[in-house]
Amino acid sequence: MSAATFLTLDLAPMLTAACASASCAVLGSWLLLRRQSLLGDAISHSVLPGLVAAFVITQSREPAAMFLGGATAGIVAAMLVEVVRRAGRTDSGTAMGVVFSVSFALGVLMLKQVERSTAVDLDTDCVLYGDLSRIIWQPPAGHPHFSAEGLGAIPRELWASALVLACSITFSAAFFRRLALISFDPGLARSIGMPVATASVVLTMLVAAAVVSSFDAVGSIIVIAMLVAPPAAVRMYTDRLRTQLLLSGLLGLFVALTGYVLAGFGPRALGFEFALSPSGMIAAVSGMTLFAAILCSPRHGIIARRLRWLRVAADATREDIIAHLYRIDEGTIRDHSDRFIPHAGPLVRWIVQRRLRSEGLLTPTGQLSERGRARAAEIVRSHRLWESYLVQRAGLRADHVHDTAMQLEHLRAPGAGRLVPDAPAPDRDPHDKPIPPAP
Amino acid sequence: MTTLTDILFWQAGFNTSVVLIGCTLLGASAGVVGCFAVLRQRSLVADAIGHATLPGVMLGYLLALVITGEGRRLPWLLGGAAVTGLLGVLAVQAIVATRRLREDAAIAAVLSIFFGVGVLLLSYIQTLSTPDRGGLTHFILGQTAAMSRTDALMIGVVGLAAMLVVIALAKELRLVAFDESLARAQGWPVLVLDVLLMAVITAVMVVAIQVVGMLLVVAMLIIPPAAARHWSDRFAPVVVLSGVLGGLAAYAGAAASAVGENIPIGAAIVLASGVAFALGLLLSPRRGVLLGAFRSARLRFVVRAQHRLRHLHASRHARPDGFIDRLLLAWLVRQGLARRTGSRYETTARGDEACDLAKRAARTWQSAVGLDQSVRLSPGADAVEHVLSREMIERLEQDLRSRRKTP
Repeated sequence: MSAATFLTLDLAPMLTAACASASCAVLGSWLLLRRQSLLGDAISHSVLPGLVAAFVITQSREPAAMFLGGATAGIVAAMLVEVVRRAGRTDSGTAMGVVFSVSFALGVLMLKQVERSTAVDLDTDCVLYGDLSRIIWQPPAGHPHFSAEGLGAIPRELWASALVLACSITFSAAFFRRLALISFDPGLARSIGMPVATASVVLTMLVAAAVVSSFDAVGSIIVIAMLVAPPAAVRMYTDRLRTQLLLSGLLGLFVALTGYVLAGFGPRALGFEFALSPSGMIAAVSGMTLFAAILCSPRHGIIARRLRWLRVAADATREDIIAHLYRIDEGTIRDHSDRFIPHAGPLVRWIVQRRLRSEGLLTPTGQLSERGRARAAEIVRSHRLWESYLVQRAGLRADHVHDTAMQLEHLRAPGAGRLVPDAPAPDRDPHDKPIPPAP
Repeated sequence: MTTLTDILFWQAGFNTSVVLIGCTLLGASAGVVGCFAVLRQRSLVADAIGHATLPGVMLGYLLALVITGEGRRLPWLLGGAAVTGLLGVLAVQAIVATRRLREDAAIAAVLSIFFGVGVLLLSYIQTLSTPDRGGLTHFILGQTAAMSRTDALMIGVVGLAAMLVVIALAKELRLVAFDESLARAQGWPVLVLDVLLMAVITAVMVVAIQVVGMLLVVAMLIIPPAAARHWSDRFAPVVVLSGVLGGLAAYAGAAASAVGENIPIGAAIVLASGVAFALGLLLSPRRGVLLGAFRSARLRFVVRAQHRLRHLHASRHARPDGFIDRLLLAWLVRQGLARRTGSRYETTARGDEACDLAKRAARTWQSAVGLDQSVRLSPGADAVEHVLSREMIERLEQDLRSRRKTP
């Protein structure tokens, strides 16, 4: 493939998708923080009749007309949602669902009529999958791409989506502080006289513009992935608003470029002769980034949470094992079964026992060492103090406190060692077992 | 040439009639099942299921193609749809379980990403040269052409079965939806009931996607219950009405699609139920927009008439001034509060009494809210005097007197 072919056929759609995706991601971050992710869903469905109407009236896919039609339909739908919510006294979720599915149905019906009646290039396929292949950068014959004439032939769709991106970034940057306050505490913002309603209208209109500019790239449905997935993935990583907006925008760019390249050139690189749908691939890539973020985020990811939980379980199991051995030595229990050691499965238990041996808390034969006994006494003391506390202070029955104490005995305050109840320490617990002295 | 009347009255041939019956049953079933879905706040999850069926249809096609050599086998396609639909639900739950993202974001992400993966698979299938790959897109936006008789029968039967399951368990599902903790405390298996409801919803949606398409199928679940809610607050009537409205909308949509050119059945059904919703919104006797507008207009008229009466009382005689004034005076005459002598109007004894009462009402109300009589109340507070009944005024006066006595 020559450079000229790439410039003509691929560069403009790639950049259009990238700009659309980045502006969706930035605006989507605001929606996510304002808990309005479904608003993006609603807008993307409800602009359809406006787009079709604009198309029928102008008989072209002129971006300006499409924006006007889409924005009008979006605003009408938003007003209808308000009307239905207030007049019909329905909750906003239902009102949104009713309005956006009906207007989408209307759009589909209009589209089906248009599809057959005119010889045109707007059809249901481009609603569903986008129509990137239509955007080409074809300079006039005899002129290279990077000449005055060549640059003049840059498709209008690319300008439009770049303009929307610029507006989204300007909006987010210029009103950053005010928007943050309005989004996080609308009540306070209203009380100090900030234009809360205006901000939300402007945001809605920008989202509508971003959705319309993404229509060519990915259609009506996959644009929701652009609005939600990059912000959600970034949300797994950061609590800082600036970082959230910046990284979302960058991730949006990355997802669109990677998706386009993989769909267009991936199969060919593997030796196949076909190309896949770029919009589908963009959605798939953003799905994968979201999946990776949910799995691997260092603080909130599933793996990190699971590991933290395992560490806690291992610590508790460690203490349960030596306390159990202490009680056997003490003669208060005879049962060697595992039911006295909750919190962990056999694998964790096996690992913990090996570690106890290597740390010298257990002797090689599995008995408590001297140090192990001292440590265990501390735990059993805590357990029995808690039992006394629960009976004397919390008024529980003596045969009901063991399981609770089994958990409380593991409590530690950061830097202050083991937590024991702040009450005068008796000599014996409610089951008349001796409480080991404080070390 | 079949006309709408032929179709509506079952004269358009056996095939069309079967399709109509199938769609009607499905619509009724979706309406009934939808009530429980909405009540249990599963309607948006249902939207995610709908979109998440696309990759399943495509995988079902590819699997059937590889294993049987023929891709377009309905059980494979629908089986795949059910599998990925449920995977979508699990994905939503997994995302919510991170406690970092809320359910709405999870739903939006899952529905669009699954749909995108489906589009990706579809674009691969389009590159194959299998002859039967054309009909696959019907699952997205529904069918334009009439469906086959066996499809319609299957749809109707599954719809009926789903409806029967939900009705049989109505009491339990309702309890779980309204008060989950009570249901748990009474020992109902909440998880089992939830899973069952989800399974029924998925079954209805999976058969419905071939008719209305996966993008609009959720509308069949949420619009009829919302429309039925206009007419009643009680559970059983809402469920019944929702089923009836869902059935009617499906029937009307299917009929319109059979008679018209290029009318996709799914869009027609959704628009028909949208009409049902709008009618309820306008006409409902309890919360309807029209009735509300009428009530507030009547109240405004009565308030103006009372003002006019006081004015008349103060000026003794008056000529009507303009059309609205004539209306106000005519109304006062009909109420026996004013009478007409020649071209002039004056108050009757009853009218004078009413004026006194109104003055008392204004005074009492102002004192009751603790304001000096010289302070001008806001127009809203002023309007209160028009709705105070005689009993209320007397009670307020008594109240004020006793308060004055005890400093």
